[in-house]
Amino acid sequence: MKRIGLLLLGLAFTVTLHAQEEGHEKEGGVKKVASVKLKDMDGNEFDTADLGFDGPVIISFWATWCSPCKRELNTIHDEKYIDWQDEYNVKLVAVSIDDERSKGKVPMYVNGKAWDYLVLMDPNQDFKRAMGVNNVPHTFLIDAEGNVVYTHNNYAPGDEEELEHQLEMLVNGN
Amino acid sequence: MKKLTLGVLALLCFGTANAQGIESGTFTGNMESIFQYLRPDSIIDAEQPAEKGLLNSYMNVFYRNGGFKAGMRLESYLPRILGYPNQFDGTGIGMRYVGYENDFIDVSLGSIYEQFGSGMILRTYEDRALGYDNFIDGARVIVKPYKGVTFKGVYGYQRLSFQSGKIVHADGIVRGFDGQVHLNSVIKPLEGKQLDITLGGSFVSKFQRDNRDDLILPENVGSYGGRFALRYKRFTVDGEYIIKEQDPSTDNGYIYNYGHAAVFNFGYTQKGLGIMFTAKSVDNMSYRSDRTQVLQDVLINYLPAVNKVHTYNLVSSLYPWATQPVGEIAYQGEVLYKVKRGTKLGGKYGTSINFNASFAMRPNRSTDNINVVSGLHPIEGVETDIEGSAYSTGIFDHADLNNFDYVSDEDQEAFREHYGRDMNYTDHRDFFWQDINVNIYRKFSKKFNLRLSYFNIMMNNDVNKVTDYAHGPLKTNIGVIEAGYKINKKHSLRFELQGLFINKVYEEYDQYSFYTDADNNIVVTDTTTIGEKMLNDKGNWLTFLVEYNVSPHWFFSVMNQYNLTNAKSVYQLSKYDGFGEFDFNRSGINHVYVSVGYIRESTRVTVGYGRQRAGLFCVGGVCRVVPASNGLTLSITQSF
Repeated sequence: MKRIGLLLLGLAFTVTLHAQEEGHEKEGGVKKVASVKLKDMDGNEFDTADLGFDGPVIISFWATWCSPCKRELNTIHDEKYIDWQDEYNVKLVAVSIDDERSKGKVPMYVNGKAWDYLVLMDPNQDFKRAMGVNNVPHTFLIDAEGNVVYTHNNYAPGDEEELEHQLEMLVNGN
Repeated sequence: MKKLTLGVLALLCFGTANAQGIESGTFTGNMESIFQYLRPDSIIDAEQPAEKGLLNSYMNVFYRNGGFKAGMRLESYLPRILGYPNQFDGTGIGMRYVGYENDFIDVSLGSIYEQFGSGMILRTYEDRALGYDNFIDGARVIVKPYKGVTFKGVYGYQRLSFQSGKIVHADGIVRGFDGQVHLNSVIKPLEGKQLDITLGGSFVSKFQRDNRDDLILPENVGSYGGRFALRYKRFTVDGEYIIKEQDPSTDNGYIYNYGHAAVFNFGYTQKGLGIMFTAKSVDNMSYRSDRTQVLQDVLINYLPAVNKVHTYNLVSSLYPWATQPVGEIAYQGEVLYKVKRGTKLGGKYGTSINFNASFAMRPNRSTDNINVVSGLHPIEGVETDIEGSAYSTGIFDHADLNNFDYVSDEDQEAFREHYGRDMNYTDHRDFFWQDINVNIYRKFSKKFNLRLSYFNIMMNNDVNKVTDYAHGPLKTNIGVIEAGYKINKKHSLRFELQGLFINKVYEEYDQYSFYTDADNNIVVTDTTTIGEKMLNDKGNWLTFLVEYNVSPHWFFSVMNQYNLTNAKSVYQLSKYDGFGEFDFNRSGINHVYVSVGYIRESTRVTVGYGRQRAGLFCVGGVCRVVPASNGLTLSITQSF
């Protein structure tokens, strides 16, 4: 059983190598957003690799029980988000990793705070795993092609300034 | 075997290297390493492990190319860090899978994380911080034949543990099937309607050979149920009901009762207001792919705890509640209200008020219709009828917490004498948990914000054992003041002051009268029994925390958890030997912990040093006990 598993894995990576040789786009080792199907609070399904936005995207992993996560998202919402949307055409996607125990609190919290973000639910943490997130908060800045250009695994007041700086560099190229 | 593993690794590395150069397809992953160097500390009962140094590491690597996906995790415990479960040992591949998916089908082979519905029938997941990993090793197919319709099937053996770097599987196999329909997508007249309906159903079965000579055990144990989710404008209602067939196990004392789990959620939200209510009924619902396992091992299902996830140190880790799979009936309500900005109470930025209450108790277990046949289950000693049923109960059929018939009149009289009141529901043996909490958050200016919280938490330590030093229910009042101050764009401070105050209990203990004879032997002449009220468990606590952040790279924090030992407590009594006065009036025990962190993009390095008290570390209602420690902890996390 185990041997078969390993063999399969070996096979998988051999296949991978082949696939890579055939690929013609040059990515230069850039991390792309993983494709996982998640639902929003209304049950609409989204593919995380193809969210349908035309500008840059901020993906922020959070949970209702994570205070720094909520601080980050509230600060951005209250102080930055309107300007960022105007200036950089950016959308923020807040991915909740709340499981069944606290999932019910997500719409309550989001509507209570009147967030304008797209909120996606990742109750069994498939997207969290696929994006290599160890712990929340973890924020990714994604360019329009789906490449990860900046990540930050923490929140301290003022981190939104660094995120804005990165956003500015991405959009204005300086 | 080893060579093969290394071969795969080499191949994997080769793949990665190539990916940097040519490639389409993406590699992602993450790693974490935690090193501990611990010292003995007799004041807090912290021991030094024989190895002195401990190291936990893991790394995930995921690959995707078009519809193809593959992933693996290497894990390493050299040996595992303090308090981590003993199912983790050695270095090796702890998880691996390959798969392919498109819009119609998703097929995977290997380690599978899956959840049906709310997870009460099947949920495999991992939590590395907790040391929880129960994936199914086998095959999974997900089919989406039409828009809004999903079918899933999984088949395999669960991961039980990781020994000498190898996955050890559970004894029994798990098979599961699940279907879900979003009616508005399938039925034309419902399309675009305000009422949104989703229905689903699951069937799960496990097979394990009958390994007992003295019992006829069901080898195939089925579990099935249905769920619904409705949404209408601002209202949501959802629910799930699961029935489990006869499943005699170590957990339930080898009884042949059916089990059930039911959860219903109601929610209402509008801008600035959220209301939520949850009701849960669980009886005999521990469902494992090995009937002899206990604790958190090879659970097929997940029973969410119906109470708020707390984050403050004294609230979350001293007296947390975990779901009782054997049975519990629980309710929770929560209201979130935001007072509009610009009003007197709301201030410039608005004020948030959150109120939450939860309550849990034992199901009613009636033995009225049970004709006990003695000697059916000699090992576990549970009396049952000829069918193996030990009791009858129903959905939301809870125990009567006002009925104290099981306490003798003398004991009730003694209680009245000691506490000056009658016994109430919180003293009942079938009372499990109560948590009433409120918190108010107000941002006063761009620079300053304040959060005030109050928690009233009571729990039955005999049912959910969190301490060896409790007498009767633990009843606590906890207050927390948290303040944030932004010095300038990059520098900020955060303070927390927490106080936990516990109930007093009436304890009796023996005190000896003695003298020392000519040979220096102690001779006891008389024994006096003394009864007095003292603080439960370890008594009262204060926690002070200050955190200094320099965005975006640095943080520094100092925390002191101070155990006030200036009054007698049950814990201190456990150390008293009966000689001399019982007077442990000391100045209190400090648990100072200092930590520094450096964060650069997706790299995070933290170093902590100091004392950590014994406590429970919980995520999502699953907890592990972490013993007291004193020493250095270094951790590195990296995503890529």
